[in-house]
Amino acid sequence: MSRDTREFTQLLKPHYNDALRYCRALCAKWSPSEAEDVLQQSFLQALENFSNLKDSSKFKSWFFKIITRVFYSSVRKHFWKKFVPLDDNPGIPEMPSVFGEQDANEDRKILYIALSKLSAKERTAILLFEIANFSIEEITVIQGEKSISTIKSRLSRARKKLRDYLTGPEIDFRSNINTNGNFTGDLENETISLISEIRAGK
Amino acid sequence: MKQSASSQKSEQENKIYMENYFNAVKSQEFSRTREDVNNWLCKADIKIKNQTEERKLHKMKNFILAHKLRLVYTVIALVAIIGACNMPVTQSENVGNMITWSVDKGNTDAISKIDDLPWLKTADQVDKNGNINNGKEEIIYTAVLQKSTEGQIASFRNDLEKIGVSALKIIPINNDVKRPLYAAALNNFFSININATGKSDEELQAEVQRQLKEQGVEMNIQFKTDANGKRNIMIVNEKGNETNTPKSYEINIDDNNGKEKIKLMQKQADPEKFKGKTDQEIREIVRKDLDNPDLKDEEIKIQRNGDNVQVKVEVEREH
Repeated sequence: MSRDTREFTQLLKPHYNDALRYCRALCAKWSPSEAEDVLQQSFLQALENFSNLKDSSKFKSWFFKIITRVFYSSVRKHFWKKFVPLDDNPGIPEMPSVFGEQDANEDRKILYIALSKLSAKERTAILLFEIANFSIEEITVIQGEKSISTIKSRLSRARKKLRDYLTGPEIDFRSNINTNGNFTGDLENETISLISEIRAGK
Repeated sequence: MKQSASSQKSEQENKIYMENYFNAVKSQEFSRTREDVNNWLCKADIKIKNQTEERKLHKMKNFILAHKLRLVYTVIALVAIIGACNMPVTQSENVGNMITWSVDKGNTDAISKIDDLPWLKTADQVDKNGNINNGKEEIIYTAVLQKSTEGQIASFRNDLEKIGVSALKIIPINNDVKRPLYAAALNNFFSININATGKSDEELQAEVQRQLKEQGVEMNIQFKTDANGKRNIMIVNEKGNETNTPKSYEINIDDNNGKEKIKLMQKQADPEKFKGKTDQEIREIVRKDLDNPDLKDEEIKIQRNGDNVQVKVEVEREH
């Protein structure tokens, strides 16, 4: 193990669980394997740029910023990626599956569905605050915003939307959960799943 | 901006309500996978360090594939620009000016001065018509001056105002010309590129003529090869000073002997200037006018028609 990788894994250790929880919840709209793609890409980018991190005390915010950027970029590429599969990392072995196990926790599933209704920026803000325990000032930097009030109002809006979704009588979340434990929240996901099934000859 | 008490309360309620859900996420354990991920990170790190260049290329390829829409828009925009450049546009060009004025018929002094104006003698068309205005007899003059510049017209107006004419009017004569947008942009200058290797004079002539026509210029060009094997170009501007004839043009010919660039310039000579002068004196004047002492005698074509002398084409060559 090289010095860089050893140092990287050491710094990652205390934040490992939070990083994976954040990444999985961030990709709540997508399948576990797509969330793993985002995580894998984030790890690789972090490794590649690790030598540029001068202050190791800022490792957590630096790494979460990378995950956030990779996620934003994946949101932009998501539609096309279904039709033209892109191999982002030629020659790099596949990351072991981390999100593959079936999630039996109902509260988590319900929250993921509610999170999938939020915009990418709202979802990012609330998860950085609630799951990764970042301060509003830190979230402002990670999300690349100029003012704290932007994040404050984004958080407030996200909480209200989440509450509305979670308590809304017209939404039956459980009906959106399929037998594989995955859920689909929108037309795009449904179409993509259908195409995959047809291709697989199901 | 301070939040109201009710909105703060509602915010607090939202937080409490969602706490259970977020706790469910926070309780999720991934520690079991950490060892496997660490091992993978080591392998990946080695690969990354060994494949820096390859990864850069792949990133570029993925960027192109991921930005297909932008690339498509760029290509469409380029096609649109090229298409727009070939669209014919109508340009209104000033081809001359018409000057009208009137003078009291009894004002013989003014009439005499008007008749002596040198520019009126060379005007393309001059009409004199008698008229009665408020019981007074007057002569209405109408002069058409093609290719007159703004400066010349200002000077003519000055001459007439000094004489004391009345009802002086200057009417610009405009002509609509249709040509491709790029030709419109290059109205007074354009170039033709030809590979003349193995081409006969006739083929070369046809090729130049075709390219000229494509650019909206009608001009008769003749190529002749002399005894030394050198090609000579003759330009016959049959349409004289028509507005869509460029003032200068450049022909690049790639021949057996290498590349030859021929710059041609057409200049309308002042007939008065050459009156009574020998061909050699005229050529000296032209060389001085163009500030080009290297001009060869045969490049300065002189046409004489009695007293009327015209120097129509000057040719400048460079290798």
